[in-house]
Amino acid sequence: MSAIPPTPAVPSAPEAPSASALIEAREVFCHFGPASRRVRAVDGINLTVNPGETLGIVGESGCGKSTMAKLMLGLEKSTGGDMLVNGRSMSTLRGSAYQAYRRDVQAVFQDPYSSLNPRMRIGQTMVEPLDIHGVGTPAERRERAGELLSRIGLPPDSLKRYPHEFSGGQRQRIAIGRALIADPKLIVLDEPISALDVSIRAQMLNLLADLRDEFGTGYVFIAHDLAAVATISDRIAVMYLGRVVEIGPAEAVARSPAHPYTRMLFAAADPSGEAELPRGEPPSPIAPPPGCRFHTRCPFAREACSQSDPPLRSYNGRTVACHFAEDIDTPLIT
Amino acid sequence: MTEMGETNAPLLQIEQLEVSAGASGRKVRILQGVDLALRERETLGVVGESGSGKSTLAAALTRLLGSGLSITGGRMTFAGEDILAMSAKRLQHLRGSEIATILQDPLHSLTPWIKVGLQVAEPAVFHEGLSWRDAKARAVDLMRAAWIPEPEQRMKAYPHEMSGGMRQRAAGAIALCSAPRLLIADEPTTALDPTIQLQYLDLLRNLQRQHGFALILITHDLGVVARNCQRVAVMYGGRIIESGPTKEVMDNPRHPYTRGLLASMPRLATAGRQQKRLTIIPGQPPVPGAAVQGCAFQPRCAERLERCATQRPPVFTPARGRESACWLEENTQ
Repeated sequence: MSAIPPTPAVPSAPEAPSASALIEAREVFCHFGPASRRVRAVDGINLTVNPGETLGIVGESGCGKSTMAKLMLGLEKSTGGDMLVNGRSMSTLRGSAYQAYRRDVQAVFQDPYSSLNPRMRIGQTMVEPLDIHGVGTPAERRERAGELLSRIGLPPDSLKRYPHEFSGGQRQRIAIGRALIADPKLIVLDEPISALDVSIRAQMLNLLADLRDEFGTGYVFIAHDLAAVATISDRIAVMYLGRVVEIGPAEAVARSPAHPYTRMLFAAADPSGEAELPRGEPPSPIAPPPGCRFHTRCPFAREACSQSDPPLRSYNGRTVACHFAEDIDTPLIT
Repeated sequence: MTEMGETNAPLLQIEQLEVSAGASGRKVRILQGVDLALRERETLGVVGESGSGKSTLAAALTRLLGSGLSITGGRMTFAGEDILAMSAKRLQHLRGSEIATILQDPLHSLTPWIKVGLQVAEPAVFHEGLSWRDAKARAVDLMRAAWIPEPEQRMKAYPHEMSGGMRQRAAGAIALCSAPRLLIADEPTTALDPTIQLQYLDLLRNLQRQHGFALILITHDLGVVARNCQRVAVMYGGRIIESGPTKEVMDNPRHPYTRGLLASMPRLATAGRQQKRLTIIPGQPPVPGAAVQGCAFQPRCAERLERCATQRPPVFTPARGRESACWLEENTQ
């Protein structure tokens, strides 16, 4: 069996392009380095983030998920395709439109020890976004920071203190407070819990869920911890070697993954399950394999997989890039 | 009849181990009252958060504590021999030859300017006096056993030419080169991707079956322990607060900390925007060496009793093979 089954493929528009999308990636590429050793970190991605939703992004190191985060934050420029914010290309934003975008999309990074300025008091750190965007009077800004402080679970006297006086978990709360203070539409969280202790992670996930409900903020939540991503996300995108290989509702993707790579990832994350062990390691993003990029490690790979690159297509309530999704479909968790 | 006759004697026995930091006047205890026994070929998981003392325990086993730390009490024996009484020369032989260690970060545990093959072969030359030629032949076999593809070529590679997973497998090959009886793996998979973690743990199990060493797996990840260890010891605030067969501890945790930790883990089965919040342990883990009068977990414990703040709970044995350092166990004895 090497024939590719007929598929209801929707090659270039895997997700219906929605006019209301907050951020949209259209065939986005982001390559680094000289032509001879070009790292194809993001290699043709279509993705939307809708207002108020939480999109989880998972994948192994080097799959391009952090580059994707930087593209959304405007910290990295795409080398092909278009990143849109509210329907407008990011690269065309100037002046007040650019300022508004920077205010609307905020970031929380992995390491709370290096993401806070050690010489700034917590109050200054939290108020800074309001200073930059000229929101309110200084007194109003301080008041806003004070209110937020109790919402993120820090003692009222924290504003006068310095980062070194706080634990890692508390610092991450401060980083979340700073991201929230200017009322953004979206916070991009790149590995926000992986530097935290196990007993602190659940606290942080609950806090993020509460704040989201209260402020209506959307999240892009990137993490290694698949169970955490599955718990907080509305939708999950699975990345492999610069591509999205599966995207859909969190429940569907986590419990009955359609792509063999997703199966492997989630089986590895389930301590009770007998995992299907992946073969080998991810190939280099400098020279991704021909055909389906995952075929070199896929336990279900057939001849066709090394020859043709499967397009993203709708299947069983999600979007997946696999020729043979129908043949391997059994739920992981019932 | 001391050594050969006692077939049931543990390979490693630790009693009331205490490790302190600082001068005797202002001593702070980093580890206290740690009891542990490990049999030949057994796999023990040691779980704890940062600052719980798990890595200090690993370093204390071969007396490789960092500067400022010293063993201030207790007993440690390896195959019946008192580790604390060993000479510097004997210790050097013990380390790397009888007790080998794999550390978390394979990039830093390999020497960047020495070819990997030489690093894998070195322990056999150093500890067993093999010729370099024989040691290199053994290194190729070990690298093949450690699932390193094309080991003959990789012998000549430098660490930076390998992926993280492959470097960590090379570190495993180094640890096994002198056929140790005990392997201590301190967070061996933390720097690796989840899929590569699984492969690595599978490799360790495989090597353990072939080589028959005992394994102490130190980790913050309960999932890693659940998959790989026969017994588990949970550390908190410098003590072992619960221990027992892994499955029993996972299915029926006794100490409130273990229970809280298991309950707070997000699970795939609850995927989707969460309907109800995760159960949490409030507060933060204690700072290592903080002066604690009673139970170190007591400030975060929902089930604390009055005495918990003042009296340190002893280790109770609520069931066969199970231990829990919690006053709640007093009446179940």
